[in-house]
Amino acid sequence: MSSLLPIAHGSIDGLGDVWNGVLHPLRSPAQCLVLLGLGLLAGQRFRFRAQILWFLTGAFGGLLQTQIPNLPELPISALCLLSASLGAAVALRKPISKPTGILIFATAGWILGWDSIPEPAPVFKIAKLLVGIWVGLGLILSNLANYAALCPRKAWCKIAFRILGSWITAISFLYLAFSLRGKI
Amino acid sequence: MITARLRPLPFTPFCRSKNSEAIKPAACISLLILLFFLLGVAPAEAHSDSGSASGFISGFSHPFFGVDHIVAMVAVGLWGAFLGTPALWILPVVFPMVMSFGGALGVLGVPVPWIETGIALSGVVLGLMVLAASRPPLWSAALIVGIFAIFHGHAHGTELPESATPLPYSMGFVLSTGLLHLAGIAFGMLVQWPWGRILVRAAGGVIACIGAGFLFHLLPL
Repeated sequence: MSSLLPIAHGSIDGLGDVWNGVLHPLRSPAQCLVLLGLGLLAGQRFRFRAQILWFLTGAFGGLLQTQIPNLPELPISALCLLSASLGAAVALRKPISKPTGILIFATAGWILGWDSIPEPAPVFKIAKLLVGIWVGLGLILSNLANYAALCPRKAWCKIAFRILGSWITAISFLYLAFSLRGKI
Repeated sequence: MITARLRPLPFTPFCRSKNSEAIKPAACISLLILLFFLLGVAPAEAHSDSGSASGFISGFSHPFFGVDHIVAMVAVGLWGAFLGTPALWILPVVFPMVMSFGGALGVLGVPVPWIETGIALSGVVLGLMVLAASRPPLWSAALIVGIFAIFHGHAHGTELPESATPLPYSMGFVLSTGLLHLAGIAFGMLVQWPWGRILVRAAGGVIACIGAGFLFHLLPL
């Protein structure tokens, strides 16, 4: 009846445009790494849970930006650098001011939105897909942040967060090196 | 009432008894034996791996192919456990972060001198630190571990297979490295008992001997 709209990281047959959009971030490992880093950062610092709204605002801007004609694709190194920085922030657990937190979450949302460029298609189909991606990004980050915040304030839990953060940074650095070598 | 029901249960590690804070040695030993046997399990191959799966498995198994890497990563965990908190978690956090930097240098083809010597020395130095129950300041312990992590990362980055899927490969690689550290920490937790302390220090001695074997080419790198 209606062909599926191709997007940056492929689409799943049988799902509608909206659901393909919702699941889109999960189909990109690089976006998952960024979302995991953001979720850990938000859960590690309770006051950052409100920053998810800034993330959604940034993502809205990034997704709207994808409709600018001839917009260049986001280089993968940008996503790698972002996830590496988020992992380092979680591992180091240094205090982050509120404005910096807002900037981090809004920028991350904007970058993830920009990384979800759909192929040219009728306006209605694109709108459904972009709404799906926006909802998906919000749902995934909210879930991750809440699960992270639910973790007990025990010493071992704080250490586990830091170790996870260091792993995210390490994975991102290696991936960045691959991308700079031109293997991907 | 509901709040009280939803309140999380206090964390009880697997080897702590419910009624006392004493750790049961038998539980820890049985877990170590189980881990030992799990290492020898052959992989199930019902489905041929490809794409992301092969990348992850390739990266995950890569650190297990070199005894020199295994002993050094286990030694980091052992030393961390010996030094206690915060070194217990700082060393395993520093190692993968610096190792990925070394890996990036290797992937990009940036030369680093004396890689093989550095890797062999890492086993000797880290093993001797555990054997001697050395307790240097935290910053110097982190520096020692960080320097050796560059050598290990560079070697892994250079040996990277061309066909690997980059991101899953990186994930598998970092995860298995972290698990090797955790294995070292788990073994190192035995230092709580006098006999465990002897066992851990002996393990450090074995690691130093293996490192010396690599250093003097008695064992193939």
